[in-house]
This record gives sequence, structure tokens and C-alpha cells, in this order.
Amino acid sequence: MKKLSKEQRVWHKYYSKTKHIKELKRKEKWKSNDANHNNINDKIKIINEKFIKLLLVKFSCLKKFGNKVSLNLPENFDLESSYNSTIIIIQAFREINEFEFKNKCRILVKIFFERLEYLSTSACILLSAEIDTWRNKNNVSLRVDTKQWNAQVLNQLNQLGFFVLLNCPVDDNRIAQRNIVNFLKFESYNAADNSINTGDLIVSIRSRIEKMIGSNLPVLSQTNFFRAVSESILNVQYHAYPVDKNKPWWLTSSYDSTKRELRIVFCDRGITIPKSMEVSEKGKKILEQIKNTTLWNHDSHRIKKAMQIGGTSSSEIFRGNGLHCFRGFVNEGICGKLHIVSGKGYYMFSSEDNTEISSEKRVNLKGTIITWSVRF
Amino acid sequence: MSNIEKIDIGEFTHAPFGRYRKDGPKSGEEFREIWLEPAIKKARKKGVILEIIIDDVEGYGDSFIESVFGGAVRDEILPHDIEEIKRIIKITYPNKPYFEMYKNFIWRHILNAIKNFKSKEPKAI
Repeated sequence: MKKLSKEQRVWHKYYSKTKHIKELKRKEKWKSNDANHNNINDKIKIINEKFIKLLLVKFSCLKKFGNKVSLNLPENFDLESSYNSTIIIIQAFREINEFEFKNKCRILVKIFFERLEYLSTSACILLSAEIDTWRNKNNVSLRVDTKQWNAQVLNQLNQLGFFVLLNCPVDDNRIAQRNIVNFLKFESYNAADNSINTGDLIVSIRSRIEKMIGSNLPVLSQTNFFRAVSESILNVQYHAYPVDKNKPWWLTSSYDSTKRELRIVFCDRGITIPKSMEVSEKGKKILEQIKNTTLWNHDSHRIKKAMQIGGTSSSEIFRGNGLHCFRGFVNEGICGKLHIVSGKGYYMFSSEDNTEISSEKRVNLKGTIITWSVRF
Repeated sequence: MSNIEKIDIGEFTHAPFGRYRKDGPKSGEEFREIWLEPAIKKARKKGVILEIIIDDVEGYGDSFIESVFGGAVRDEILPHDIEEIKRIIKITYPNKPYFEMYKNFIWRHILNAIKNFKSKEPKAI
């Protein structure tokens, strides 16, 4: 019999308990006896408490808050400088989200933003995507108290439309301040929604980015922006959500006026690029080419190959050419960089010296995040 | 009488997007079927070249280009010989010289479609 690690044992116990709760709730429907009902509720309460204990063991970012939990964001929430600690928080959020949805209960009661001093654009869109999903899935209504928040973080989240997303207006006089780094209110659309004119949408996003920067993008960048974003959106429509396409993508942008650096971030919570390659004929061909290498199972290696060969998950031989289009936009500026994080894989292309870097991360993003950064 | 017919993708849309109609409005499939196919047929009937103006748009995703031109080869709107295709269509970009990259993508997708089509043809015994 295969020996389980300590973490696997804890999670095996966790998921079997979730199953047990469902069973208890099913029985509850059939037995209307009050005493029995109370008994079952007590059992559910005990099991919930046990789950919370397990969550607290697994995630140090979670703290006990009464008989529930709170999520504490760190000082630095950034995928580049502190990838693992940032992704752990996203993972904790997802575990809670899934648990609350499955068991129709609430265990997360507060998210502490007070310690947060730096929030990168990519980490910000990831966090917004998680909260957006959490709200929609579990019908959560939130209240925000920003008094102790860092002013820059507060402004950043406000510009991104974070508080509009949470449906809670913020009354804070620090919000009027203009930041060195400005953000574009993020766009989010359903991958299954083909009623919108996506081409016009991309043009309007480009116009708003130019308004944020205060000048027009160079003409070649305009057309390469259109090319890169349209292929990103189409990739999500085709590949990211193969089972239920009724899921969203998110896009935002930031501009640092001191560095003259523009960042565009695109994110989805789909099956990831390396996984999508297992589905298609073209992806299988790429995997066949690298199967004898030691890295064939590494997500980062798969992304690198997909970038070079241009294959994603389409089973039709003439499709699946999207990934290489992503490079065009970063080729047009100074110090252009393309970052892709998908699953456990990280890939970076720098136009300055035409180099590619890929590495394997310890924690799975369970989605894809693409960042273009260019200086003009 | 002019020995050239013209078609401007910018009159179809300034922001083309997607491969199939199911991807949303202004897709490659829609352009190919409603605009390109009749225009090619008309030009061939008249025995003139069809000039396709590509630069009055924001840009193209590869999916749109592949669907229009690769699809035209697959659907046999265009013949399976590159030299013959060059006698039927001409790609122009009078106002945006940098759209040459899209012209190159178009010819690359046409060549790929011909190659894939030929590889699927039954071999003579």
C-alpha cells in the first residue's frame, strides 16, 4: 500500500469529512425530527471546527477569528518577488471558497489588508479574481473598513474598481490622491459570452490605457496590443474552460510614470497551458517531442515549447497558434518583458537581449496569468 | 474597364476578432463567407485580380487571418497552388507600411493550408 505523506493524510481526512457532511445533510432532509435535527447540526458544527483546525495547520496566513477564520495579507503581495507566499494565500482562499460552496456555510469572516504595503498588478488581479469568484459563487456580501489601510494600496484598489466589484462604496478622503503608479479599472467577461464585440472592446481598452498614460501608444504597439490581447481572449474561449465555459477572464493595466513602464495583465482560472496540451493532437505532438527529456513533465518546459512551436490545445491541425503572438507587443518597447505563469510553470521572455527563462514553481497557480511589461 | 476588383476589410470591421461565428461578431468565418468568397468568385468570373486592402483595421489575431485565408484554401474558394493564388489575389496596405507583417502572416497561413490539404490527399497507387 502506498504510504501517504503527513500533508496527504491531513487532506485525505479533510475531504472524507466533507463527504461526511454531505451525507449528514442528506439524512437531515429525510428526518424531520427536531431532536435529530439539532443532533445533526451539532455534528456539522463539530466537523466544521475540525476543518478549520486543519486549515489553520495548512495555511499560516489564516488566523482563528472567534469560531471562524480570518485571512491576513502579508506586507508584500507580489508574484515576482514573493511568489510562494502570494500563491499560498490564493490557495487558502480557494480551499475556503470550495468548502463554503460545498457545505453552504461561512468560515471566512474577515480579510486583513492592514499590513499590506505593496500589491503588484498581477497579484492584485489574481486577488480580485478570487474575491469576484467567491462573491458570485457563495453570494457573499462584504463590508470594508479602510481606516488602517496603506494609502497607496487603497488608491490602487480603488482605481482597479475593487470596491465596485465588492459592491461597497468607500468613504475615505485619502482616495483622491494621485499615485505614481496608476491603474486601469479591470475588465472581466465571461468566456462563454459571444454576444460582445470583443474586437471593439480591445480597441476601447487600448484607448483607456492611452488616456491613463497621457499619450498614444506607438502605432506598431497599438496593432501588436490588439493581436496579443485578442489571441489571449480567444485562447480562454477555446482552451481554458473545456468543461464549463461559463467562467470569466480578467484584464487590467498599470502605468508607472517615473519608470515610464506600462504593464498589462491578463488572467484566467482555467486548466492551464501545460494541461491543455495533453488534450490536443498538436499539444500531444509537442509532448511527444520532449518525452525523452527529463523535463517533459515540467509545466515550465511545456510552456517554453508551446511558445517556440506555437501549439496549444486545439485538436485541429490548423489551430493553436496563439502563444507566439504574445511576444509581438513586448518587442516594440524598451526593456519589453513577457511573463507567463501557468500551473507550476513560469516563463519569461525579454526582448532586450532576446532571452527566455523558465522555471518550475513549488506551488500550482491553478490558472494562467500573462503579464506584458514595456517601457516607452 | 478596370482590371482589378477591390475589397477593404476595414469596411467589414475596424476590429476583427475570432475564428468562427460562435466566437462573436466580426469573425474570420463571417468575413470569408459573406465578403471574400463572393468577391473572389466575381473577380475570377471577370478574369481580374482581387485587391484585398488590409490596413484599415486596428490589427489581427492569427486566428482571424487563418480562418479567412487558410479557410479559403480548405473550402476551395482559392486553388491549391500558390502561384495561381498570386494571380487571383493581391494584399495591399497603402496607409500602414508596418502591416507588411500581416501580409506575411497571410501568405504563411495560405502556404500551411495548401501543405496540410495536400498531405491529406489520397496517394496514387
